[in-house]
Amino acid sequence: MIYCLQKAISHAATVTFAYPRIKTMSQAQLLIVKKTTPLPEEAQQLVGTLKEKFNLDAYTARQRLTGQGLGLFVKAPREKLKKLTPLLTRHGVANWIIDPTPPRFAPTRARSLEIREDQISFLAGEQKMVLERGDRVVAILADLTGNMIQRNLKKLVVQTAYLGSDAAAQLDDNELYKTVLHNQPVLDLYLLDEKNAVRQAVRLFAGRYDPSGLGKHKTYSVGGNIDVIVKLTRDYAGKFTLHTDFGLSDLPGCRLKKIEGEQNPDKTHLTPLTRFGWLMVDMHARMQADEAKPAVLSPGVIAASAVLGAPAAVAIATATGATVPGFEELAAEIHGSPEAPQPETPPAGRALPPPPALKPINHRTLIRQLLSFAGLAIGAGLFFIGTSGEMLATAARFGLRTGAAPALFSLLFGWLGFHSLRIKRHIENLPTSRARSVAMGLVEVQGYARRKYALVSPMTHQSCVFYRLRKYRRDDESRNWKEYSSTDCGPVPFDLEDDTGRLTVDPAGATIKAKHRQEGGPGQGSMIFAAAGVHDSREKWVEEVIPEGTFIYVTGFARSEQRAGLSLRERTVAALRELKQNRHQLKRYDTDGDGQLSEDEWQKAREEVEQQVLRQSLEEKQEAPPQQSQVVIGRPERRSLPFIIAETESETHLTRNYAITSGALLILGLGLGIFALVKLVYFLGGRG
Amino acid sequence: MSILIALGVILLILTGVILYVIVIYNGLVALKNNIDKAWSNIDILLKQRFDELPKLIKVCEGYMQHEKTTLEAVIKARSMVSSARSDSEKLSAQNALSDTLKSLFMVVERYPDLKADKAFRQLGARITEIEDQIADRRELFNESVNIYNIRIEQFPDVLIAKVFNFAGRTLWQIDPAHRADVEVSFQHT
Repeated sequence: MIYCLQKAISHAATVTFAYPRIKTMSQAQLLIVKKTTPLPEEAQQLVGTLKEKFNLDAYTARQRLTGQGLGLFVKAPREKLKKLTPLLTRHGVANWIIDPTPPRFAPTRARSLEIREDQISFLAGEQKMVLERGDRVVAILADLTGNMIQRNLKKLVVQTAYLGSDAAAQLDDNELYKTVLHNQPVLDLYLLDEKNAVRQAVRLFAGRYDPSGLGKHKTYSVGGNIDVIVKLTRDYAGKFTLHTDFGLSDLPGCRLKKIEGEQNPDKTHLTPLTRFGWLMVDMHARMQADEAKPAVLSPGVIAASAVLGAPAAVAIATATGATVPGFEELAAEIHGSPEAPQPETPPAGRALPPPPALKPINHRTLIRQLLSFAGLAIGAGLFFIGTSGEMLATAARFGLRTGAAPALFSLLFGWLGFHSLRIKRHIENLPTSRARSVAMGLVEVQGYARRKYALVSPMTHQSCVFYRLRKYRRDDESRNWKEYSSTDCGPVPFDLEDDTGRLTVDPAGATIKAKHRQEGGPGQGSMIFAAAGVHDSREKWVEEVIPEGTFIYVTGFARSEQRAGLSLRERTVAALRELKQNRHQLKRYDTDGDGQLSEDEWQKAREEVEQQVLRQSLEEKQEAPPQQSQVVIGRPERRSLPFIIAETESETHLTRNYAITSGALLILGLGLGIFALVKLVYFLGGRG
Repeated sequence: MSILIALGVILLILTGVILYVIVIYNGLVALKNNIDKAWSNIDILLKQRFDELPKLIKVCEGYMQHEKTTLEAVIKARSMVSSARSDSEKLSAQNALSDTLKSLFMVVERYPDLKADKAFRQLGARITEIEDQIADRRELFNESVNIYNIRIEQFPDVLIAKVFNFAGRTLWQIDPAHRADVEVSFQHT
């Protein structure tokens, strides 16, 4: 299968991006690179140079340099690739040209093993692979389920949400190793000869071999036994290389694809695994060859040292297998010269602080709430104690016959209707302020939600400023969903940004209307990995989120958090008082040296102090954050005033919703009122 | 009995209408006060600008020995603002102050030392920030007036507005002289 990403261009140094079948690569060789995330700045420049000099597509080049593990950069004859390698090295990209050996055989499946003092034998029926102490081994520990890729992606998504894309890190080697062992590990061991050619190879499937040969090392876990074999092999082997990034590395013919409905996915993935193993053997051979070469300081490494500084260049030299005597001194000399550009600090991730802990409830509020709850409970209790079930039914019938019950509901709906109407008119009556000039008091602002804290929604892992999670269980009898749990993020302050500035919103006590809604069943923890629709289950969750960057509408009460300091006049008076007490300072202004300050001398001293205080005050103002960033929009003191945070397309959409709600409630209230009236009239007329 | 029911329904609807009238009336009162608040909020910024000016003049005096006319014009305009009584006087005095400030900042271009002065740059930035805020709040004031004027002309608010004499308010319109192109003069006295 060949993916031609760019047509061949007739240029002296032109190479093509292609993923060939390994069997067809008789002439072409592979340029393998070590991928990185995020792409360093030097490599960003490299992309431009590749486009300019080699006419390589910038997007594809960037894709092939970004990521984890090893990846094929290009396929071309060696002469052409040789022109590329110094450039890659100069820009800090570790690279190797390899002549891939087509897989001659697949590793034999081992059924058992024997461990002796001087050797480990892997047995596959009559066949046997013996690993003696000091042998060369390339090991591939792979997960064929695809869970490792999923976990890596999940980690990236969460880290991007918390820290920003610049600081997001993928799984490190240790995490990869553990993740593979926790899934369905397959261990391939390639035994190499003196020339680094494959002598024999075995494959161990977790749980599908007899582990009794491990003796005292045997564990009760299939992953644990594989771990033991890896460790033992490392101990016995003279040279041991372990690769755990199968599935993450982007190498030709080595991709792990999840095929829906496949009967035997393992079998499909074994061929790519074998290809990967043979390529890693080639890589090993290439690295060994590089190590054996006499140390040569290539021009690329020298240039890299100037650009990246000594440590980076040493890293490149190490990655390329070059050992450079006296290199550090040379690099330090280049680095230390005034002309040499200083190494730039990598961009720091947008690390946000964790959301604040919930504030303890005010004691007075708590007591008030408890008293009202207790009053209600006592009232209801007395009513139920004092009345039997029959009496309750009689009271309900009486309420309905006299019209008292519908009248009560009519009042309730009427009040709710007028309340919605008032809110609608409040929203319509308030003009929209801008963030930089917002005045204190009831205000309306619109802009984009920006996080102040690292808040991430629990199910869909979205970076957000608000989330609410409701859980439902299906009722066995009615088959309806019933809510059994409702949680939200609590009042986590966030910023609202418009084209003039930013201000803070404290959502404690706000009516929050989120539009982003996601549903899922048990086990559907992320929308990325979830299948569309809800699983046929007895439980489901519904998550409402206001994601970061959403356009929102806020009506609330603006307050300033600016701390009041001393006025300029007060500061000047204090400075003059201090001057009067300092004889040594006063002496400076005694120009005629008579030991006293004349009126003119004192005036001069006063002017100087005033100037000094003014400058000091201005400098402090400059250092202080801009005014709008100290404004907080929160709940108004008067509870009747609205405090709304809504994710909406426009103000009209919001008011339309309130108009519909108030209209419906008022009509319902009126209808119930008329019904209550009719009932009352009939009751009084003796016909009820 | 039917008459009783009809009367009751009419009473119910009447109660609803009265409540609706109350909502409209309260809304109009709130709108009228919003306009006054918006005007006062501009005043606060004008006062802030007024208070910052002596500092600016003090910093400039040290460098601009030859620009007494410009500085005096700013001081005069500032005193005009403090002595203005009516709204129209205040408005014209504030406009005059804005003009003299613009002239001052233009003249500053000839004084590189002053331009480089940290205190001057900070004061300049502060005054520019206040000017931006004033412009925003003028827009907000006009928006408040606009919402109010629309409301008192719309049905059914117009009925309540007529009964309770809610009169229309005037938008803050800029002096026509300010719409003309600015002529910049670099005459050196």
